Amino acid sequence: MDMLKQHDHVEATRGIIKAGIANGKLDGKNNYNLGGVGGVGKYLKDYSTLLTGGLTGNLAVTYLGSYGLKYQVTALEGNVATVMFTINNSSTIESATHPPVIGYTPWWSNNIGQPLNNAMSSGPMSKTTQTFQWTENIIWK
Amino acid sequence: MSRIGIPIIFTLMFGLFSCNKVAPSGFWVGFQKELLKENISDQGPYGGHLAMHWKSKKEKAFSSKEIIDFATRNGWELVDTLEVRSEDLKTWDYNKIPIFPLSHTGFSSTPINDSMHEKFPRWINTGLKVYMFKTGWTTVDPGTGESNQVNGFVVLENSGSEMSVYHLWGE
Repeated sequence: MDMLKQHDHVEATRGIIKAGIANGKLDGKNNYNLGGVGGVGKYLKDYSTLLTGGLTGNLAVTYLGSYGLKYQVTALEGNVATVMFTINNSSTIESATHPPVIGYTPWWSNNIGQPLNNAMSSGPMSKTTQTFQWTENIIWK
Repeated sequence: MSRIGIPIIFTLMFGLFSCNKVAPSGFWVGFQKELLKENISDQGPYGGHLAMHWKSKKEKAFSSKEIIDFATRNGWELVDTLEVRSEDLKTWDYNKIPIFPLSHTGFSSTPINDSMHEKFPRWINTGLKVYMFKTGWTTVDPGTGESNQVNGFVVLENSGSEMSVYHLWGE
């Protein structure tokens, strides 16, 4: 989990949390996703671990790919905020085999993705879910 | 979600999507071009988003019939509508910036504090109607892996002088 805590996106989220507290927002979401042109760079960086034996990128994110991130400020004391982070990730054979572009159409889901999921609804290659949760203190001002 | 990728497709997609009309929902650039004021589009091989805004000095410049007909001709399917009062728009903000509350889980009229909303600026600040469409694309929520097909939206200001389009697909 330490690797995940060090991911660039988690670090950026700490900045969002600081700004949010200043605006009175004590919880929120900042999912890590691969959409847009910037997603290509993220993808290449995340998977560069496989070529460099982990010298680049972040091995935890190589496994997770995109992930859901929620945060909640559980205590505020002076300039220190106690924040709970929750990261969720679900993987199915459909999500693992999404090709670019066409993989995000109902046609692909109905004809390829869902049949694959149904065929592998149990045992190896069936759906897995990971949840990571930790609490840390952030100096917000 | 991890996946098997084909990096060379990235390059092909850049070439294809650089032509705005070919990008998902890019057909909207052909709608009343002279009144188009904003056009934000960021498209990649694993997803993208679009936010557009039209404005006229005249009321009734845009009509629901014209919008629905144009969307339908281009493959969008109307599934629902929602009227929103101007006072209800007060909660549609992210870090005090007006937004349209769309994310990978779909549209929510009672938005939570989601950084994805930042990609969808809201230009209309008075009473409006939201038209919700299936677009032929799916969004995938990064946390749960659940997909959603209702991810295209047209927002029509009540007097018909302004409208916006929002679309999100992929991851």
